[in-house]
Amino acid sequence: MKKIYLLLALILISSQSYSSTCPDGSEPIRSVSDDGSYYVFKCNADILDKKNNKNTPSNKTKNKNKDSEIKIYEVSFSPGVLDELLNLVVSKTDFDFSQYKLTNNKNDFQCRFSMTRIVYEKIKEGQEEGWNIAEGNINIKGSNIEFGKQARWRMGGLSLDSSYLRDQVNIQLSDRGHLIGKMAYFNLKTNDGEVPTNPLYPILTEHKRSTPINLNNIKNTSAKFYIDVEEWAGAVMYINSCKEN
Amino acid sequence: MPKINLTRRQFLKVSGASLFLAGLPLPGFTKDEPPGTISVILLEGGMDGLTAVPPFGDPNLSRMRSSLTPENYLELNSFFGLHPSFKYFSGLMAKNNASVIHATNFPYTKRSHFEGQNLMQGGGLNPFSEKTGWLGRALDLAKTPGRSMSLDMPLLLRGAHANDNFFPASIRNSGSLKTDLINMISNAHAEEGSSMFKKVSKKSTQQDSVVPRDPASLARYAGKAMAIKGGPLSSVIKVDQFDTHASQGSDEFGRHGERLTVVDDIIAGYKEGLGDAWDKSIILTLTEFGRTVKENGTWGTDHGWGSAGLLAGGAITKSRVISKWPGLAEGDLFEKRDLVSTIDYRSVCAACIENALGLDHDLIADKVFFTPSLPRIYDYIFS
Repeated sequence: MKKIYLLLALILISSQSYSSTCPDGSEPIRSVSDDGSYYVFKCNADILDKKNNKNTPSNKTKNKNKDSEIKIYEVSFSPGVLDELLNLVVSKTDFDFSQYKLTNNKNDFQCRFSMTRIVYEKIKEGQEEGWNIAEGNINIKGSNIEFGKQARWRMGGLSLDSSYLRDQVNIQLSDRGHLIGKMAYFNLKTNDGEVPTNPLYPILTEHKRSTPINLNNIKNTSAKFYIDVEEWAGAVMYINSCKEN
Repeated sequence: MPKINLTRRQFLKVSGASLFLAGLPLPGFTKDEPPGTISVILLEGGMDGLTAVPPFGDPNLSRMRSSLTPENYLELNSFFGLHPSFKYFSGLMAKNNASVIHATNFPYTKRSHFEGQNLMQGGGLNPFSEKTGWLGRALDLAKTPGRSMSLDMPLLLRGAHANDNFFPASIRNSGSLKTDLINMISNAHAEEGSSMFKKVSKKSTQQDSVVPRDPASLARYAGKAMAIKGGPLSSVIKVDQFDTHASQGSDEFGRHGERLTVVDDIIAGYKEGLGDAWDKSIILTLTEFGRTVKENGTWGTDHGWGSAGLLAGGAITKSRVISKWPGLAEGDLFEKRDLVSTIDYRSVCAACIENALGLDHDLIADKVFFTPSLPRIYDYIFS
């Protein structure tokens, strides 16, 4: 009888010794030794126990079990902060119009526009270049200014994407006939093969050199707006040939 | 000759970022449409989680760090704050579309950039043990191997299946790129291969391949690509320069704060690009290690272990900070210097894969991370 017990004990020890599974029932994990010359088989719990110090709870939980020590710190803002965050606009065309009085124009007009670059490098007053960097039609809808479908940039690169004139323009017409707000603007031409550059977002304001839109006679207006962009160059936008829609 | 006034901030913004897109379903591979998209922002150099998401409720934070915690952090709750660089991210938190995992990282403690970056991308158990990346393996399992849009193929996206590369490079005459060679190869191949080459041909000549190289533009481009039906399921954007051993700074204008602004811009770019596809998206950050809890002698921090992981996307419906906070007292630190990682970040990655690709956690744990007992923390993030 003793021999049978001994035999059973030996079998048990033997099977434990040659078992291919880890104590937690999982398969050993194959990895490469530190010097990369042989495979090392380790149980996951051993690995994590070695990685974590005594302060780190050892990771022996089963997959589907939740790690009960994890705590959720709910995010809670005060009503004022929450309101501010929810209304937070992180937009490059965001502009505060509250300091301006907008026109009370109720009519819709479609006009032509063209934009040229004005370079200040040699002449203080600037020298307009002889070609349009953008052109097409521009719509006045009440105080709102929108570029029309035919409007386009001619600066290559990203400017060829019509969405910049459609989605990244935030301009209003002031009660003194000036264009105010912000818009995507391309100051540098991107030639074929060059890495494109992002647009700039200059502020359009009531520039002292501008000739505003004649709000009493928009149809016959011939406006000229100066836009300060960079030290070396800005833009001049012409608006004319307006028709009432 | 025009003057180009390039500020340091602008320079930093346009440097050190790369975009990789992958998981474009190949014809005949996709069985079912995966439920979402997964995007990874790799933060190389080791992001300081204690500055990004300061645990101001821990009394040892101010004792260990005199000048690294921003004064104008946003209080998320009574314990954690959010760095002021995260303007867009804070808005997402208010909208319940962003969360933070804190005191977390991959189970790697040797503080080497090379080994750490290899492990965070490879997802293996030892550095340099894997030839594929955890995201590539997950895409393989989801049967959506495909094209990586990159100059090189990052380890993170490498899978067992052959992926090819494409990157919207602005080479000379790319505007009139001839696709004759691609078309010839296309005609010479069987139907399956042919359609793939046609896709490459179409992609090569499409207008929106003109993309600026700044991280936010790359993210916007990636988002747009992923929003298209049949587009890539995954993207990776790499941002570097988080290794702030000296003059780290505390606020949004400091060296580390500027890097965090880049991350914020990337998340904003993704949101804009994804459009309606935002609702099914998840974006997560990875960093090879956190930084030492104590400030060093040059107003910076050194290589550490635990950090913070940022999650954003419409797949998150409740903003929270998830942590098993280990404490910042000297006795609580790993080797008396590092924040302990008490949540294995592989569990976070697994939860994001489960959400985006619809794979079972056990499968991910076993086949993607080679750790069958990897805890499932999906419910903490997505419930």
